[in-house]
Amino acid sequence: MPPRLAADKTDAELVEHFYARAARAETEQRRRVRQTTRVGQVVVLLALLGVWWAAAAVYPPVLVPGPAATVQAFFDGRATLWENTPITIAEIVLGFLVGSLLGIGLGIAIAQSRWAEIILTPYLVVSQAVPKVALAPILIIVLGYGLASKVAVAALIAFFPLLENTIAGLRQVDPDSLRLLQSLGATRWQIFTKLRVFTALPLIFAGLRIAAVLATVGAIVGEFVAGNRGLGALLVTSMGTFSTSLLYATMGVLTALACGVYLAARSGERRALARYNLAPPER
Amino acid sequence: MARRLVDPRASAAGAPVAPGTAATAEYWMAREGQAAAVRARRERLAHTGARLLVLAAVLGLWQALASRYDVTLMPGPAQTYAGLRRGWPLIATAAVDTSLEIALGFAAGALIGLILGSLVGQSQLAEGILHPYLIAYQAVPKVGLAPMIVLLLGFGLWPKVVLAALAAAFPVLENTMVGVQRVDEDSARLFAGLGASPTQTYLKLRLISALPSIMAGVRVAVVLATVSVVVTEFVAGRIGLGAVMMLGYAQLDTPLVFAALVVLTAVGLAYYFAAVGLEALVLRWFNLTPSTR
Amino acid sequence: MDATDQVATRPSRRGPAAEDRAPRVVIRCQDVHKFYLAGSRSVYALKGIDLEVREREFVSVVGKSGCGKSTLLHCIAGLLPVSHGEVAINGERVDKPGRRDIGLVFQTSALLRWRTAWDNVLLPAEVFGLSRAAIEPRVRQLFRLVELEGFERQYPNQLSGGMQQRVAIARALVHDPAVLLMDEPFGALDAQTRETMTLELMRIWEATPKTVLFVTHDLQEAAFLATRVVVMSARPGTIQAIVDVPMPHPRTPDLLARADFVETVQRLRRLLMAQ
Repeated sequence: MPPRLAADKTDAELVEHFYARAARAETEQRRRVRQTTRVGQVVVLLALLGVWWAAAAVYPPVLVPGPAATVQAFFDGRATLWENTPITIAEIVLGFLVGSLLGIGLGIAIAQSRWAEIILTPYLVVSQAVPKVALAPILIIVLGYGLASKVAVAALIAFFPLLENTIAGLRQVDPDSLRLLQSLGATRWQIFTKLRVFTALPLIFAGLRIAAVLATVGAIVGEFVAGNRGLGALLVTSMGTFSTSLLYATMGVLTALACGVYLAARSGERRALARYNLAPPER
Repeated sequence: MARRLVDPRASAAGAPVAPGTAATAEYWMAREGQAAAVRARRERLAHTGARLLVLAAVLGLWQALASRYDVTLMPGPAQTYAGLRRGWPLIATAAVDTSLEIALGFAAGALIGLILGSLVGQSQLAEGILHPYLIAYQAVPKVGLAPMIVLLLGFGLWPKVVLAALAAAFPVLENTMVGVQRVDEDSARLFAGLGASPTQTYLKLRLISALPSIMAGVRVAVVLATVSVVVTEFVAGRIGLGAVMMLGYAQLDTPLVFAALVVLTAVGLAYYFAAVGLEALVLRWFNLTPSTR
Repeated sequence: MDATDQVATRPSRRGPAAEDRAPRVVIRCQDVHKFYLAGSRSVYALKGIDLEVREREFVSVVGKSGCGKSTLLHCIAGLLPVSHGEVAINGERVDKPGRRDIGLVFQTSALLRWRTAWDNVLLPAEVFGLSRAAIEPRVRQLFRLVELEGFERQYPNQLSGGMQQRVAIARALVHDPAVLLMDEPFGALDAQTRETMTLELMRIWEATPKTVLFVTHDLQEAAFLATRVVVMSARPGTIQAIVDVPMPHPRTPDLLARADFVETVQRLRRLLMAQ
């Protein structure tokens, strides 16, 4: 029979013995996972670039320009890009602001009346299924080719998730906290500002994050339909004139912009939640 | 379910019940229950009535707005209906095309999302590697890819299907991934204790336990597929209801635009409710409860 | 520690021939240590565990929360690797899960919601690839054994907590394992159901020739069911004592009031208090 481990050691020595082994094994494993992950990520990136490069080699440049041609077009077209990007950004920002204010405002209003909430709920559910981007042509006919129509499209799409989330957030109040405030004799306004607002914040911030992304979608689609100014319009015109490398370059800018919006929205949500020590909603 | 108001005082034998007995308590309980049922039914009717009122108000508002403005700017319900009848052959074929694109795109995307989500969900390494790419995939609005894809695949069916698939894949992928991972701890231990292979554990435990989450993803995917198809039709503008809308838009034939929009809304709603129905069916078949997401 | 406590690992004083007559060792833990890191914390869950469980024994394991009793069970089942020492079942070393000679019952019944009770009991047979036709008579028998005849087609959510655990026990028995490992199976049940289930388990065990290792925090339950009770102490988890419960089987509820039984439970309680 092998000698017993604990025979001549104290508890502390045993812990030392095992800890050293376990810690070493764990750091080793972590390092291996990190390395493999990095390598894997680089491999995926190279594979994607490789597919692009291979496609560019196989297909004519008018269909698939390669990475080099795209970078070239980016420099050649930087004036046009520089001109159109702020327009799209303005549409996204304004659409987001208008949609958010309307969504949160209306959400608060509807949440005040349980009856109104019950009546309107089926319409909200149904509106989820309706492709709101389809209203873009109509909004452009009514509001013209300028900034207003794209902002309207963006705001319309961004509005609904915020409306829903605000209503849902205001509804999910902890009944015990509510009873506490009521027993203190708090007015409806006080209950709202001291309790309901805060329990609703996680869902509202999540809704804001979704709205930011949707405002981007709305702006782009509006520009597709109107086709005069902005990055989306540039995509459509370069598609029509087969200026494919400019198309790809614009796509790059647009992707960067969209990622920027997404990351800003996500970090904004996180920071806002952290400030009030709230947990993100059950995603 | 219609409930006859039965006089609970009549016992089975037909004789009236004496007061103060246990049967009297029953009588009052039954009467209270019936009163509550009547109250509930009245409340439901009131709600439905109010909802119809809202709908009528919206339609009325639409008609009022339309009669104030030029018909080229804002056709009312009547003109929209006229436009629908006028453009029916065009709209009908377009509706079929759009429906087909949505169905194919959604099916392809959901299948890809399911397979990839299952694989990535069971491998922490794969999830770690793909994490930044999945974030990028989520962040970039797929509709922005429409011009590029139309340029590559032409103006027909396929760019719409591809873009719809790209859009539909993500929610299914994410929900499958999460669902496959979030399995009850003791159930996982049970399978491990039985020495089940990863495939067995996947098929008999993880996949089924993930179904509520997957079906929620499917619901979202259907809507995203619809949106993608519409936008691609805006850009490609040859077939589909989106193309009809662009046609009307170019010719300032606003009744046609509205008519196509109404039909498009109907198609979108039909697919959404089909997805909801599918979710209910699947959950009932497997005796599962819907996901809270 | 009371001098009358017998430690199972002390060699028999009866002589070599007596060894052959003693029932064979089914579960053997030799100098088992279990150490792991949980985030930044280090947990010394098991230290120097020596345990021998013989055939047809019912051994309960008790101890305060966090003493490692569940960890010990998981190590014996092969769900967790040991940091030092050896676990063997039926003479074969346990180093990974999936032994066909053990059956597991958890605190949560871990029944699959989408399967009927019948299909849940069939699960181990499916995983092992056994023929359905061959197993089905046995499943029917098991439903009779756990007194759930007629409930085969019910879904878990249609069954009470006690019934769910009975299905879980039937499932653990379907492949006729030699060993049953039970981790606080009645912990999630209300007091009444727990009492009923304890008697149920007693009846089931007497009807089947299994070796059982039963983890619980309820001292009375532990002593009532078991032939020996292992008392564990926490941080690090060690076997403080092993208490014999020599009362004969089959055991009836009137045992609970008997003086010698009450004294045994009191001894267990004193051992736990002394920690």
